[in-house]
Amino acid sequence: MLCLSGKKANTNEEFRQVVKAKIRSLIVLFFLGVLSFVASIVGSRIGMIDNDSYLQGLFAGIGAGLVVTSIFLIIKYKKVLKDEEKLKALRLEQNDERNIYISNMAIKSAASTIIVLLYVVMIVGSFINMYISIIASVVIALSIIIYLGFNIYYNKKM
Amino acid sequence: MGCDILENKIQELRKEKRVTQSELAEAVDVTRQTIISLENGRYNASLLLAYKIANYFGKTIEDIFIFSEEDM
Repeated sequence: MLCLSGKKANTNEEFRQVVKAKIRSLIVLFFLGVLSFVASIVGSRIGMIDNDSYLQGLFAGIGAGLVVTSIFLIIKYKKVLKDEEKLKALRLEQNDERNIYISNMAIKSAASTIIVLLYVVMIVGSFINMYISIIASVVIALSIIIYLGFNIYYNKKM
Repeated sequence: MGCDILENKIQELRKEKRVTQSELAEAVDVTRQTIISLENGRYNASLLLAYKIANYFGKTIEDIFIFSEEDM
């Protein structure tokens, strides 16, 4: 579920504002999706992207995905705003400490797994194409630097 | 090396008070799944949640959550 607000809402009224902010973010995502989809069509018409190419499929797929997902979530959140019980249930679900803990553990595990996979790509890539290996190593290095940066930031904040 | 164990009496107190898991969850602002996990010992409550639960039952945190350390 899209969760772009870090604020914890303690009442239904506070959470109502959080949900409205999410709807506004989803509207932006909707237009980004439309833009991506249109870019795939226009790009191939004016010759910037080859027809039936990987890029055209990528832009169209991402665009369609963003459009469909944002429409679905906007409708869902609009329904929630009209029903106090659903609003409360969603607020409890999103603010639940166990759910937040699970989400944090999942992100941590995913990040570690991705770093290991990138390392494998870096090693294997060096035998196939040096650029693959270089890009993988740069991503690994950036990830470590960004991690250390956030570590220092949160250390000072808390 | 010691092994920290945190047990709780949430289920016992809840049944005494004749309250459902849903009602308790709503009262302390968590989901029913969290109450289930607490009662099964699969999840340990934060200090804030432990306080809210203790407050709900009119008891202290130490009355509800029992911490023990076992030598392995």
